[in-house]
Amino acid sequence: MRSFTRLVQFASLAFLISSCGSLSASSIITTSHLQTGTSGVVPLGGPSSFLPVANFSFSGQSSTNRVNWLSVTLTLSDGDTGVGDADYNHINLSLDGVNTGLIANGFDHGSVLTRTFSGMVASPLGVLLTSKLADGHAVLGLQTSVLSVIDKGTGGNYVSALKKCKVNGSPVFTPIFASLSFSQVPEPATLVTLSALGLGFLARRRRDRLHAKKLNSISN
Amino acid sequence: MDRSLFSLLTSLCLVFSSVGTCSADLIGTVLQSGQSGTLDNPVIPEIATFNLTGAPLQTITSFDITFTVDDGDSDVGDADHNNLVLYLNGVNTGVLLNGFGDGSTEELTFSSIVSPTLSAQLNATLGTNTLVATIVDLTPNSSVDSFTTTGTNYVSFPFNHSGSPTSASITIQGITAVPEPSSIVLSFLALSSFGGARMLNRRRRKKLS
Repeated sequence: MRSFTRLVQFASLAFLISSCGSLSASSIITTSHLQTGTSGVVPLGGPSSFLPVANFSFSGQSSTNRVNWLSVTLTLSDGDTGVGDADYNHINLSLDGVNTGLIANGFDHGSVLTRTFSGMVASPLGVLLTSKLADGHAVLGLQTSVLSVIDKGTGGNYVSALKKCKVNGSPVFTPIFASLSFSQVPEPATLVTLSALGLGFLARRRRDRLHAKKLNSISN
Repeated sequence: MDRSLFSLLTSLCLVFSSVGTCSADLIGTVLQSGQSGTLDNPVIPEIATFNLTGAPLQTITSFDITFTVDDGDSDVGDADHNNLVLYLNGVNTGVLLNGFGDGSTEELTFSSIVSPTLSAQLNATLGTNTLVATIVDLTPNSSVDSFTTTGTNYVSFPFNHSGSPTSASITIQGITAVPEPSSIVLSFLALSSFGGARMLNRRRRKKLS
């Protein structure tokens, strides 16, 4: 019976340590992938309605902990989201169709530019993103919040997630990668559970010690 | 008609016909338009609008044009391989714009010999030395070009690439009509001798009278 208790204690301790590992671990997961080369009109946002920029893979790196921070780097041609451009403040970045809340401004009209966007992710969205990232894959996409006239195909809101580049007479192509970074933290409920487990574990140990002391004093 | 007057007219005709030809270039370099869209639009996006410098050409013999395209889809195996043609001022040059890959930005140069017919057509549009370069899709109604599909035949002609200006350039080679120096000297001598002969004639007549 005593050895069984020890076994349970050991298992609990191991679980606690591993949990603490993921707790401290707001470690940042970073991955990059060649862009898709897809071009077209950015569609209205929806679960399966986005212009794909890159298909990331990070199998084995993500956990079930909540995503609380996100950073994305991508290259677009003619995004029309510079200040004063037609789609300024209209284009969102999505992961697997979920709007991340990151607004892809700064891709000036008529330009090929690389930009990085990052920000903290609030809890409800973080939970949703966590569920999307759980399979170790995520498609970075572009969605528009306003389908203006220029987005309906009159030669305006063309955008391309270029996959390679050869300029100024360069004989070689430079591949264009997009990158995704995110960090995860345990949910508050998880923290409470872990804390309770730790406290319970310590209390049990203290009680055992007191009990042993008592027995010793009686036997003496 | 007076013989000397006839001689004078003849010499003048000789002077005006004594013009030669020399090769010359019309040159233009300009930031690209930044326009984008599908090539089957009612309004086809422009690559660039050049303001050419150089003397007007009597005959255009050839041209070189360099420009950058995003996602042209005209490389081998791409949807618009052998389908994209260069137009200059609305005139079909017959130059196939192959080599712009799917999902890539590429700068390419195209050179072409110009036929007399094309030379005449182009020259007729070059009154102000303004030259608009566009791409026309020979298969505008194919499914890949349609608005109803996504991720299709969009192209872009950027004027900025990662902070560096993106320019297009064109050089039009041809011949221009100019008086040749030797012809000018010969004509001058002819005129002088005719003038001298006439003067001698007049003096002789005066003397006789």
